[in-house]
Amino acid sequence: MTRSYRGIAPLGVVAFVLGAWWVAAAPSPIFPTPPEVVNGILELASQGTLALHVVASLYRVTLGYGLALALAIPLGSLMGWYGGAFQAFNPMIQLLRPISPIAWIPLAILWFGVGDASPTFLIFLSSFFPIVVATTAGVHQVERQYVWAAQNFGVGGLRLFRTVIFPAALPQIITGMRVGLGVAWLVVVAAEMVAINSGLGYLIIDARNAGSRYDLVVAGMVLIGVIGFLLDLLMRRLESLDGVRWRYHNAR
Amino acid sequence: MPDKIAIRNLWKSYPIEQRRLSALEDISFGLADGEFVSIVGPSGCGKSTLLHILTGFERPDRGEALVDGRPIERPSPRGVLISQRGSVFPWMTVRRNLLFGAVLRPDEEREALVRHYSDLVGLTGFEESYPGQLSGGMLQRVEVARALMARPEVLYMDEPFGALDALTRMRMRTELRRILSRDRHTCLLVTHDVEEALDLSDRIVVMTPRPGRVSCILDVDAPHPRVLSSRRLLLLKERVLCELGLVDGDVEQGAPPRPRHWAPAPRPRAIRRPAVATAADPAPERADVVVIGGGPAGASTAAILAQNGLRVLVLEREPFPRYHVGESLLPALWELWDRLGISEQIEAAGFVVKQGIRFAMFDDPDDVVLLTAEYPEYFPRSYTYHVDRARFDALLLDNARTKGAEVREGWTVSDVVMQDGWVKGVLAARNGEAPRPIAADVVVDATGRDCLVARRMGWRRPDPALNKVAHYTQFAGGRPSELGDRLPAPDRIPGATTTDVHTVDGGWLWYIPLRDGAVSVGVVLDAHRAGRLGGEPEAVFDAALAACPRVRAQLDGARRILPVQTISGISYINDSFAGNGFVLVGDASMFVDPIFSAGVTLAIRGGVYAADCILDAFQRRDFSEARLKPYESRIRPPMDRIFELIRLWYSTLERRQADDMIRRSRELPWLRERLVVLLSGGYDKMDLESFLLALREAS
Repeated sequence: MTRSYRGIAPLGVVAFVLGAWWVAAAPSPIFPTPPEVVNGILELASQGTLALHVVASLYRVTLGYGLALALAIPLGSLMGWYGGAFQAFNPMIQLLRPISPIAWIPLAILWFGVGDASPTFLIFLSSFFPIVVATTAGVHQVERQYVWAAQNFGVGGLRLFRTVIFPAALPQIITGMRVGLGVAWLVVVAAEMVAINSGLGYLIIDARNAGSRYDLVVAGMVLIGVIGFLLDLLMRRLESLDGVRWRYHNAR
Repeated sequence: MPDKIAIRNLWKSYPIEQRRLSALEDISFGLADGEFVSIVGPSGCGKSTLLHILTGFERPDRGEALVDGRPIERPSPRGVLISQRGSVFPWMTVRRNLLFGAVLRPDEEREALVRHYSDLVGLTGFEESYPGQLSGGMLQRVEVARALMARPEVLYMDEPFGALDALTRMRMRTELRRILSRDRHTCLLVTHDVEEALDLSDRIVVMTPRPGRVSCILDVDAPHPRVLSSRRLLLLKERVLCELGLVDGDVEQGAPPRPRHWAPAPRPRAIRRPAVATAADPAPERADVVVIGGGPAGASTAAILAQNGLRVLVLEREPFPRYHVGESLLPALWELWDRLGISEQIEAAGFVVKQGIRFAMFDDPDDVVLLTAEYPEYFPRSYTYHVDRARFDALLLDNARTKGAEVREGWTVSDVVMQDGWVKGVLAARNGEAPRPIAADVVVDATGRDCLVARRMGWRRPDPALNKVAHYTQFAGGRPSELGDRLPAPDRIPGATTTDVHTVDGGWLWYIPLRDGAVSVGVVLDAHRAGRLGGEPEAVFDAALAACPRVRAQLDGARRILPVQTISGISYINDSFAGNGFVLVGDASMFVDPIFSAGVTLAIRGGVYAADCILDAFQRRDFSEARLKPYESRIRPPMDRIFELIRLWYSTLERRQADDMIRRSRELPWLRERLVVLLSGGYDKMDLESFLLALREAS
């Protein structure tokens, strides 16, 4: 497969879908065409609401996701390293994990109101589980010879964790983080559609309710897709760092 | 002396499904301080378990393991374990990995240690690489260097090279020996490679299959570097294999090397004589070994074989002494001359002393002078000679005579006697007489560039990348290049000279001072280019000389004393160096470009290796290709290394770049050490792989 093929093929698919959309939507009053959507985005941008919504959504994700990282990585490490901790926490985690974050929305509103707190809580909930599970597995699977080598050189305790166990597990933790961020982005939109008055999810609901502006609905969708794509790209960059690349590209 | 490590009545078992599986039973042995001991045993005999106990990762059920008289409580940097699976941290650079080894030491000391050990194991230039970017051999170097960083008292190695390919494994073995010769440690090596154990250890502990017990402990008291095909080590190897149950037979306890003379074996079946000789004498002449050609390779083989009691017949076409090109020798020859017992004679012969190689590269005003005295630890003596080959070759051939070989000069071998794919002898006669058969168990082809056997077999394979032509001659009254103050007085031998290499348009030129103002001068050019130039060899030679003002100045007033001679199609390597009943040695096996003066050194080395192998064959009275082939696998690696270096040299010439290996060696001491050792003939002492990698990295 040539380099140029790899560059051109995905663009071709995107162009084809856009074209098909254009052709299909042309005679329809209820489905906006691509130029209409672009105009919608420009309109939002000129009003200044575009930046407002995007920033609001990203802010909530940062908060909830950051909280999840801060709790999931230490807990996962503990569970991966100490059999006792694993046995104590794992059943509870496996029980809560299958519950969709969407199902928590009523309770979240009840507990945290309609401010930033309830979507933050939902995002935390959604990204916490993938990260804790990946961290547990990562730490648990650190090869014995690395730990032995460190102990052989007289390294133990917190230093062992910091210099050997954590870096050895990091590639798997990053994979968990990537999954976690993806879910967080899914959930923020859902949460904003129900309870909040800002953010990309709110934009979609608001555009429909206040005047059936479907061009703006699709504009919101497109923005969600693009930002999600960029976030994933960012996480992928993390996977190519020197300290973790060894795991993904096996031995070279 | 109390043992450094004492293992007394050690037992260890593991629970497996309500039963206990015994891994070690009643193990007892010890290691003295600084001793190298190997444990050899089949897989699953508990060898690794023993190392885990000694490093404090596991505990014995019964018995004790003491280091310095104290039981081992927990893992510590005093005894470091190197395992086959590799524990170099892939998330850290090489440098940080090394630093980790000395994690408990102050920072300045760690930095100094990193410099020291990356240099020692050959990692300089790779410090900022990640392990994923390194080859298996390089990774294992990191592993060893990191272990040494901890300055352990004992090094425990669990099949450290087990995951490497055979060639890299052998290189790493040599490297490990070199490292340990600089940085002595008490070592316990677990391996299933008997040769590795024989090569490295002072003693070998042989273990039985599960449950592991000590089967026997053997002393290996051969000096380093060891020749694994020597009889003593071969016997020991057989003994180990026998203990392991891999070889049938009863090797007596501590069997001494067999006496030097073998009882004459029953004469083999009558030889079907070739047509030429049917009417001739009824009982053909025979010898144990016939050596065709009395040059350095043939004479060396003959001397060692004769010294060991074989009846050796050397047939040389020309009456000695006779002129031959290839006057520059290398320091690596001393070890071989010691084997041949002629070091003193050579020293007394009054040859011109050579203490270096001078490279005058392109228009660079500064010569690069590589001195053989720079790294004296590699060779018995750090100087060598420029010899007139007539005298030198005669000296070697006389040595073969003195050692008991029968040498006939003025005899030509017209062909070998083949029978069912076996060489059974030669057809030979005094020059001018009708050839008659001479039977032999082994025929050694040392016919030089004639390649008698190889041509017959169709084995000769020119190296198209090294298609060069050489024109050469000798002058009287040339001035040698003096060493001057390049080498300070105590090391400099009065009158010492250098072999000079000058780059010229399309090739290079050699200038080798001999005795009494005689000088050997030759020019080596690309064959295509020389062909385009056309003209007589003499004209080509003169043109090259005219373009080299420095050499012209040195030859001012000198006169040519030989006609210009030519060799074309310089480099070739034959497909195989051994077959049923014969081996090829010296130029008959390969011909190497003269640039690094490797010819004579490789020829004598090959001659000596071939003799070792033939002796082994006679001991078993098996002269098959399989029995003679080990000679080839021993001489090939050094040859491959020099060929690789030569290719590098010519790519330098082609590109005329300023950062070639020769000039880079001025500022990179690590590169320089390797270059000096390799160019001194130490092809078996240096790992070319790391040299090439460093070079690639440096440029």
